[in-house]
Amino acid sequence: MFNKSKFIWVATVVLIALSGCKGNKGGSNKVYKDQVVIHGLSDAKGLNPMTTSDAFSNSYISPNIFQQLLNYDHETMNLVPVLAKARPQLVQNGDMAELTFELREEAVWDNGQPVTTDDVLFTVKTIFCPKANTDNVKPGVDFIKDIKTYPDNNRKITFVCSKHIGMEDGTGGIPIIPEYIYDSKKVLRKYTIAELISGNSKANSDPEINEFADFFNSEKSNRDTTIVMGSGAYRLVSFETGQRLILEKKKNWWGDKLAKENEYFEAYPKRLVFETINDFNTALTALVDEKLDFIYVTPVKEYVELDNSPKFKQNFVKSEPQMLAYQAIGVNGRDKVLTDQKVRQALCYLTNVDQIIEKVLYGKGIRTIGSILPMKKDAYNSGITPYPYDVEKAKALLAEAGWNDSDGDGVLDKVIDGQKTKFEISYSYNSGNPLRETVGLLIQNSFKQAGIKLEIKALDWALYLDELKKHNCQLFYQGWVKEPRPDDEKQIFHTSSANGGSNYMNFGNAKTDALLEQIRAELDVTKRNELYKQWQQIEHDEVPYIFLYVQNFRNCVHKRFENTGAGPVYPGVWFAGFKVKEGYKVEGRE
Amino acid sequence: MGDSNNTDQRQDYWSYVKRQFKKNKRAVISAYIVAVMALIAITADFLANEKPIVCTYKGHTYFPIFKEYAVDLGIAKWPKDLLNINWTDTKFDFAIRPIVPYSPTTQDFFNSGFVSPFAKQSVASTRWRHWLGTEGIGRDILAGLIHGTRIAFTVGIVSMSIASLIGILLGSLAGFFGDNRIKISRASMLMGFIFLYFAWFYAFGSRSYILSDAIGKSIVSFLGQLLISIGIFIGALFVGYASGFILKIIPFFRKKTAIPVDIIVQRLIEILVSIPRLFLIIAVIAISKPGIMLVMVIIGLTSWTEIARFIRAELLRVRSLEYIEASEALGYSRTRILLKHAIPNAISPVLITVAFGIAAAILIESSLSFLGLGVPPEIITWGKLLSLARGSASQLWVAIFPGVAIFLTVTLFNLIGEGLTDALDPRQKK
Repeated sequence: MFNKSKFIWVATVVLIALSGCKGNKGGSNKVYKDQVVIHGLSDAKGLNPMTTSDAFSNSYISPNIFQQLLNYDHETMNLVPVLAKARPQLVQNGDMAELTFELREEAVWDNGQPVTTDDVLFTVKTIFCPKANTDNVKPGVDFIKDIKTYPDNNRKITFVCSKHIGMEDGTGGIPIIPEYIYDSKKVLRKYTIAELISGNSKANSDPEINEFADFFNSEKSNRDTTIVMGSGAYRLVSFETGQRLILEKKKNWWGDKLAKENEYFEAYPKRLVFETINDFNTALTALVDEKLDFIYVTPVKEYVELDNSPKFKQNFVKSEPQMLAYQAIGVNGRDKVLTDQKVRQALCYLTNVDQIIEKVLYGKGIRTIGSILPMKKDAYNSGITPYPYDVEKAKALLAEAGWNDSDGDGVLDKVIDGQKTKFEISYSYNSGNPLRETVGLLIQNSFKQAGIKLEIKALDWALYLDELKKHNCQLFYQGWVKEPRPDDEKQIFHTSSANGGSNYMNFGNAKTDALLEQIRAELDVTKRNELYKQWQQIEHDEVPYIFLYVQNFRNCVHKRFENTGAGPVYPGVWFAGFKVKEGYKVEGRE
Repeated sequence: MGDSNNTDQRQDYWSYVKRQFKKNKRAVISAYIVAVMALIAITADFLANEKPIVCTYKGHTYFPIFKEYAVDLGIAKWPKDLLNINWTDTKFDFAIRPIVPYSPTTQDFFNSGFVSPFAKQSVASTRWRHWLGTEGIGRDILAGLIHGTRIAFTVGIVSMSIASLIGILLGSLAGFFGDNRIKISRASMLMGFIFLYFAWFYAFGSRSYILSDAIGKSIVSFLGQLLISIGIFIGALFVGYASGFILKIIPFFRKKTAIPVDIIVQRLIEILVSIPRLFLIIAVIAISKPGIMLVMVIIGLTSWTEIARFIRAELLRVRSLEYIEASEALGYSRTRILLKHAIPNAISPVLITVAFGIAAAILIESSLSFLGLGVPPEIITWGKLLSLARGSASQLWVAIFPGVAIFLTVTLFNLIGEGLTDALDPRQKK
């Protein structure tokens, strides 16, 4: 029975509630806390930079606690000296090379002790320490063969390496950790670095080393506030699982007076808070309410739609530097339908990349012709024109390769090994990724016009990786994150990576392998760039991947900050450098 | 024969049911709406299609939609001119296009990115407007809804047909024969038991790889293989049953015992009911190739329990009625009595369950599509449309129309079910 008085009562409550919602004005009269709140989709996996493979921990959090000898400027991608005074001196010696670093005199740990070569040596030893979980760091420094120290100078250290293009970045890129905290018993001093690298048998069975490795891998070394300490500007003060992680600026930090040097010596906010919110709808609501100051928005549509929110526009700016990563559709070249180069090229002509960038990324990305990215201007082969979208050209190529529709059912066929084979291929992606599904639907539509039937398969992540490794996928979507260091494509394109490695395309032959090996050892930049250009031509012709695009970061930063220079190095910005603009009030500051 | 009398009676009964049903206005209206929707489902290809119904191209006249049926059946080929052409962009000399000139898979790039039904659309004319807007890559929502109707109805009807077959068979066996009306000699029983192991081994054990490969291939091949397996199983059991005569030399084995059909079926129902259906379906889908056929078969195989219970209860009542006793006295075989007299008189309550079952099946399919399971990405269903609307509140139209469609259909079938309940309930007689 409809109750009139009840209705009026409810209506009144609703009206009052609606009229009470007035957006806050933000800006000048609000007092902000002296901190930057950064969104994380999941907790940091751990804060021991040597044993953690989690990108969020290693790029968002660790650089504020631990410092490297060298690091990349987020904007320019150049190597800048951090704990080292300058970039290393390089002495070549046959197929070996020596890199000598000098440490800064000012650098001290939290106990006031200076940072010395003993700490650097200790840090490198932990990488090669048996039973320590450092498998994610090892491949990046597998060229280090020995280390020389100088008794008369405890700030000078020389790395002896087998020649490799990543030497300087690899040796300079190790986060240095204090020996007095992580190895107070100085257990690792029992063994020389050369012994550990060669896999000395005594260390393998040494109970003291085992004890050290157990501690080094433990949760304690990853999250205990009395352990996680470095020479950086911030100290870990709390780590609440599933909630937030807080870093606090050290008083009288040694690097403060070097703030002019480079961004790694800029540390303005009193606190850096890493807030864990594992769902984007919730996170974006929190952002608009100014509960977050920085976020990287994975779902593109939601990112674009933020512009419809007046509150967002009032308080935030979008920051969209290009990412150092590319996305591509892998092509299994050993598949009987796809082994013909002409067929693979035809698929490129049928992939309307510009349209995909428009529809899937809302225009927030640029094309790339290969695995060497456009932002590496000197190495990028701008002489190659990307494949245009051209159905007729594709049809002609397919006909040349012997594919015709003999039975008039709209799907091409060809006799392969005496069997009539239809051109029906599959495109696999990891389920639950709408962007990748949409890419599949778009190419399915354009492939159809040339008489190719594409089946779209969504696979669970574990299964997807498994199928890729077994080469059961014909076409598949992949994204690769790169580093600023010179590109070493061996891991992905070398034939040795085809079984169990990342060469899911089954790509390569003796010639391409030789070129990749040559690139790895070529220290002369000009010559190396020439080789890179050759490599890109091969990629373009052979089509291991249908190369798609380089995305832009989809970062949002609160408007009260300046000095938020953005660039390709993940996560795109240096949080500690965020400075509050004039006109905004901050707690505890005049 | 006494059959004619029986038919008269039955006609009488059904006309009475019809009269009763018509008294329930809501159910009658629902039935009419469902009939209209069924018509939409049947004619979906002519209502929303990128291909013209009839067109002239390069001097020839074609009927592309009929042509497509013929090509699918394998009795025709596409003419060279029409092979893989872009139907929407091609300029025909003359063409009559369907009301909605888009297929659910047509990607209209000029109107992609969730264009609202009320927004300005970049279309050639009003004729090409997306009346209910589009989704992310420019697929027409109305076309998706129309073809989604077909999928929803197919899922509902096919899955409930499978369920009815299994339910009626097992339920009537349990109800009519109970625990002690099928008797076989101890000899056959013993041999049957022994052969049960062999039957299982040869039908399913040794063919397990064939069966699991077939699941991976397609649902049709799996059903074919399953039928072969069941055939082997029954054959082996029969051999066991028949070979019992050797043992009959011994008097002990000549004695007859009853097979507790009722208990077996009841336990089977309880086992099936105790497994959460959605999880079972998701588990099966995870290991097999996605396809709408698979979804229908799984829903059918898991939803026969209610039907079986109904018909069992009905037959328990029927089997003690005079006319059954009379026909037994006349010496008819039990099978004949069951098929010709008992089941037809007990079938009516099943209609009610089927009506509710169709609603449930449509809902399950929508849930699966919403989760992105069961149907390949290019097939648009109501649930799929709903899931496209996830994550942004500003594109209401993508969620509202399929949501309403699902709600409406499920409600309609439930109302029809209610109407049938009232009409068939003898205690409601006025």
